[in-house]
Amino acid sequence: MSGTLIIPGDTIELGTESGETSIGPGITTNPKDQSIVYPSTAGLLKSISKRNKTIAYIEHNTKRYIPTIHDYVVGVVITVFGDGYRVSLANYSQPVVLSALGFPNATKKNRPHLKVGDVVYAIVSLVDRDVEVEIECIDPVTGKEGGFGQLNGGTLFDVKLAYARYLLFNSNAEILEAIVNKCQFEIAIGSNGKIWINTENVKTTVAAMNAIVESQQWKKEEIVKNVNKIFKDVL
Amino acid sequence: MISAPEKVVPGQPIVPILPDSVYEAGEGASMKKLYANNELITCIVSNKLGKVITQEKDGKTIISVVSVGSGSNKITTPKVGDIVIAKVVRITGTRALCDIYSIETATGTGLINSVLAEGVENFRGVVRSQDIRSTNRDSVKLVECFKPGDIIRAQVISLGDGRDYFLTTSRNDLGVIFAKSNGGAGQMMLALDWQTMVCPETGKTEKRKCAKPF
Repeated sequence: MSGTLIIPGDTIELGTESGETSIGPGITTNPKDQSIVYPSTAGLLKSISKRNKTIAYIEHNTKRYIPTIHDYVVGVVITVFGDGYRVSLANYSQPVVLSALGFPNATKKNRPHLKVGDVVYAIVSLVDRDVEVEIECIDPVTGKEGGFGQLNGGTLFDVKLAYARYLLFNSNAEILEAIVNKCQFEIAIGSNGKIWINTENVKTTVAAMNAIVESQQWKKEEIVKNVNKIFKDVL
Repeated sequence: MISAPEKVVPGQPIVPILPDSVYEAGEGASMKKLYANNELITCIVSNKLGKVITQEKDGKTIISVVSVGSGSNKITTPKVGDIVIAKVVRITGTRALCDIYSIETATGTGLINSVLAEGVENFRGVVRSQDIRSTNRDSVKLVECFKPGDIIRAQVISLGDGRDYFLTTSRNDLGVIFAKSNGGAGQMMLALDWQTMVCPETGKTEKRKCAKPF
């Protein structure tokens, strides 16, 4: 079952593994009969098994980011209004709402000071077909800042959605290890395909950005060599 | 006097307006320009199905059209305190917009259909998130109370701004009375308690602010 190419319209057989099977991204259920599942995107059907529980999902590389609850996202503030902000997660997509109360220790008197054009790191908190998507800058577990909030300085760029997910969930990704040998950096990766990076000076920031963007095309063996080449004139 | 038709249908001309005419349009009639013999002539035209009534007033003759039938000619508009039946049209994070369809009479039983003003759309109502429930009013999640397509029973609290009436559902007997599951694609749901509705076909529950049944 792992790695089979699936396109919408194909049937998926689940429940052949022992234990419970849940469905993950890319698979939806028939509203009338929860046991019938359909693929909703094209990609590779994969499954993860842990202690008798299996999650089946479709590994896909779609272009448009569709907000999903509890995703980490990097957004740009486009409008400031009475009790919140409108944030863009992707060009040509619907903006999302960041309430002024969606920050740690926020009250009606104590508001954050975001302006149009500011970059924020947030978590998607409400996704519903009938209202606008909402994001907030509070860690849902601890209730504190947890790395969310405004990102100052640095630069913002786009990568493919699947690559952003890969970098986000593999903290020892080869490209990041290669760059950390060249310069110190802080990075914020969003599941919406936006990455924010900040280093000591503009030259290394631009070099790091170029390295990450171009690394989408490199083979694993070439990574260290190509990063050396990019940083050669900079350091 | 020009012989005018006795019973008219909407759009039917009643009398033409000639240069020294004494005719004026009253209730249920209006002036329109119509083509006759390759000329544009202003006529008094009927807006309703009914009988033509003429009245003399200050030297002018007023032509009006009165509907035949029960005296349901009066336009009933919602007043503060009226209980109305409305359909939720749109929800945002902070308010639910509805079309008001009916007003209940003072006796509480028996609905009367509000006669809508001629050619105008439904009355519009808005339920703000703080007016949905009486407890925990500030931490209300609107998506767990109403969905577009739900029929609600609400009370008018204010005539509002020019566009919408302000409604509340914060009593036990106010809230969602009919709703379909799965965004309108499923069956009609039944209320389990004031916060939950269940679809009898799939067994899935959905959160709504339900009204206590009569």
